[in-house]
Amino acid sequence: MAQFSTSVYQNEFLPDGGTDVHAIVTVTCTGAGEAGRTGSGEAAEIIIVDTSGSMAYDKINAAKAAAAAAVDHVLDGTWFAVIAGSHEARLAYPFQASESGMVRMDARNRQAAKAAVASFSADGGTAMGTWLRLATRVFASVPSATQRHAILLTDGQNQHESPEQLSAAIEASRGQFQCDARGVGADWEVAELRRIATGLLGTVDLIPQPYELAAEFERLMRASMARGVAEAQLRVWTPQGAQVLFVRQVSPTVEDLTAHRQQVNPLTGAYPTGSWGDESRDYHVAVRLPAKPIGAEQLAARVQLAVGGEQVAQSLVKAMWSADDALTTRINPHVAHYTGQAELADAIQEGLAAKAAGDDAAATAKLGRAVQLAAGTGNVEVTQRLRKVVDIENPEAGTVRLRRDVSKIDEMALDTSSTKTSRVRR
Amino acid sequence: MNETVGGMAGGGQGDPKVIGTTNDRDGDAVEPGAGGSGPDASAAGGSVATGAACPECGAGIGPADLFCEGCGAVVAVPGLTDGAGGPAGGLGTATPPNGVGRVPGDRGASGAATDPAATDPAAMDPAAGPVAPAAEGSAAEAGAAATTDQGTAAATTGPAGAAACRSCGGRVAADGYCETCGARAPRGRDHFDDRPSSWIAAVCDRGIRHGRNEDAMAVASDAEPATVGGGGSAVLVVCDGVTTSADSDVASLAAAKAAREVLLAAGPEPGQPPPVDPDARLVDNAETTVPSGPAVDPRFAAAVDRVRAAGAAANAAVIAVTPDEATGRNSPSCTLVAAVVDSGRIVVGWVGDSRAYWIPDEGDAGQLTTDDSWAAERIAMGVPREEAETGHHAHAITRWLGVDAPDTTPRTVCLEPDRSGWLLLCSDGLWNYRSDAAELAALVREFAGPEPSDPLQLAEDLVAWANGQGGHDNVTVALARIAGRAATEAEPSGV
Repeated sequence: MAQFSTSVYQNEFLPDGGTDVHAIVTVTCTGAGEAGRTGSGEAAEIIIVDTSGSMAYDKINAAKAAAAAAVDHVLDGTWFAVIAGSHEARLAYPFQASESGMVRMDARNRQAAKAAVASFSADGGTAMGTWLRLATRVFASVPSATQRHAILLTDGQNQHESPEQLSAAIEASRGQFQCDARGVGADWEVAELRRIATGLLGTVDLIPQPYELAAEFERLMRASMARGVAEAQLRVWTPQGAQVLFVRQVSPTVEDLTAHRQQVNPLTGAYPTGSWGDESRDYHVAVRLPAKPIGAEQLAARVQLAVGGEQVAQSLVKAMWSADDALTTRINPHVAHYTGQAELADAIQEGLAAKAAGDDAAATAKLGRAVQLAAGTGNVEVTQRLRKVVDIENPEAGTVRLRRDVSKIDEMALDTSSTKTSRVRR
Repeated sequence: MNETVGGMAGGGQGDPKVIGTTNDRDGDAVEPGAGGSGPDASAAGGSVATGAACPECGAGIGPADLFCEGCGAVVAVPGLTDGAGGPAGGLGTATPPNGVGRVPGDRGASGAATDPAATDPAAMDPAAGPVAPAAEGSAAEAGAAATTDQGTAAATTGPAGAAACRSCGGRVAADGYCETCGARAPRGRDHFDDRPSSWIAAVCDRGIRHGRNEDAMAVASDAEPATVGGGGSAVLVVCDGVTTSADSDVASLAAAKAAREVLLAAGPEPGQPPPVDPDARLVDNAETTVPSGPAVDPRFAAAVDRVRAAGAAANAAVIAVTPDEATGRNSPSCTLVAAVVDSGRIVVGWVGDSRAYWIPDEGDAGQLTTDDSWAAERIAMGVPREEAETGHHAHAITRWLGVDAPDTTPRTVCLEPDRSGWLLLCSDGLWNYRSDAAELAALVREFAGPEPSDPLQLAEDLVAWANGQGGHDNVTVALARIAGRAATEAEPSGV
């Protein structure tokens, strides 16, 4: 039986007239069990493979191997399907007269699915919105499957539909399933896959070389099968008159959840967090309160985790107004760390966007700030990736020069890693 | 603003003692990494079984205790009646604002936790003896464990099944905070009350500015009300811990309880010659409206003796909680004001600057006690009261209870009311804002209204009023209602 626990890190002391309360809430799940095997509903998996013309040769072969590797790690009994995507979506497995349907994984179906994948050929364009819409319909054909997850692979840009069409498809799929999106090579658009992953509570990442695909797909499927908690919500209660400034996941990746609020009651909002395995995630909650007199104490937020509508863990975020500067000026290291990491993600993405737009001054300033933040928060991975895009003169001061010989894939790798945060050094 | 004093009059006192000035927070601040983890322990703390041990320090916990007397940890959450079984915090069921704005001091602000209907039965229990010690804290606050073990039928839930927020009237969640406005519900040591009967009540509150409640109180009474010249008996004790010393919250509570125990013990057998108390004095007409009399009146002697014994017991209790290594300024210390009401007579004893006032419904009110303080000594020398009580050393006291106290024998005062009124005991958290007896009386009469008032409501109103003035110190109010003679025509006058 899964157990959730929460802990809160904050400086609860506010100065006279202070209004803003920041807290990091760590949520930890243990004993999650396996997907579809914990009594909280059945699990379903769809593997979505880009079979457009650009995938020809080594990429399509690597994609076939990767899909087969993922199929190998789908637990028996799990509902599953495979979609081949181009400018239109096709249900590649199971073979059915009707368009949508799923089968339960067993030895025979596993072999049949791998055979179907092996027959893929690269042809056509790219319209990822159609892939998502088909996946939504296929998942919907099995109402008993409450935990729905897809892996989406592409190698190119979404050229055969408009951005609006993709956005509409993401919106239609939101809440229907979770999706981890992967791009292989350097010809796809990080922002496009990030929109899919963010909207569908998944991750986005770059696979530089086709031969690395199979290992990544295996890892993704193993992780998905280890999530025995189908769906959990982060709930944030704030007092009457308070304002939620933002709610964001800050570890393992930065995801702003503020706009995803679903009202539970006038004082409580729920933010979907998807499925959970044995893991910890950190959330940054910021609340603005009306100022109270020195000495007053109140609750700024109740931060809870709810599974199936039932609260399973709660932490209290407090506010106490104090005249003691030694207390009110204390900076909580967790809050400071993740505030820096979130700013780091923004600085990288804005810096790369400025660079792409030819605004070297803005790019230098933003990426310089990113270098400074990465160094300050000990984010070694991002620092290494930044070095491939800028020459660092002084990491503490954030003085950098843009490199002229930057490869596209290094920029993309920096972009995709920008939202991956390091944990607080303890 | 205070330090203190070696007394000018007492001579030879030890370290200075300061009541209630610093704004220290105790150790419950959330340190990074330490605080607020998980499904809070408090959420499960609906009640504590008899003979339980404190979850924090392991000390024994009485059945009626709201908080551990050893470490101050909250062991029962007032008004928590849905216990751990309910959805703690109840996010899915948050009470929408009820639209009934209510502020501290508002008439009728006493919520379910202190609903008289919930607490009355404890005092009315005929099996509880002539002077029944009430449960620590009101029955409703103490919860099921307290009331069952007292063998009473007190309701354990208010009408709403949960405490109401004192700020907005919303529901207080299991985590101890309001579900609507987030205000922290006073709990455990921070705010407790007692109403052992319809005519006796006390409220002890942390105030606004202080992080810890170092005040304490203990009361007990007969169900039968006291009247002019007769009626039931009661004891009231208020103690105020000295802020500059450690663990004064523990000391003050220990002292208050010890004093109450002694005051409840039977006095000398009838017929014995009353002991002579050279210190006892009768309040004269200049201060109150009670009859004058000889300096030592044998009718009061037994009660005077009990009050002095209570002072000794309270001092012993403070010393008992004093760690071996604590010395001087750091040793736990507190004040004491204790009153015995019996057969229409009142004896008050005190050490320090906690006070007693007699506030008749008509006529002049009077301060019964004379502070053992630097300020009082300056007043005695002719310095105007306001200047003395607000100036330098205003809160420095010259006598206190504790291991380093040079003189712990209560000074006493006796009176025999000739009309209905209120006996009010309080800490400086109240009188700081209304020191003058006439002004305080005006406030009490305003809150009490023309009709006989519920003493708990009146005490809550006075505490809320003090908090409304800034709540710079812990504030404690204990009240005894003395009914008029007409209410008990059968009683002999006794005067």
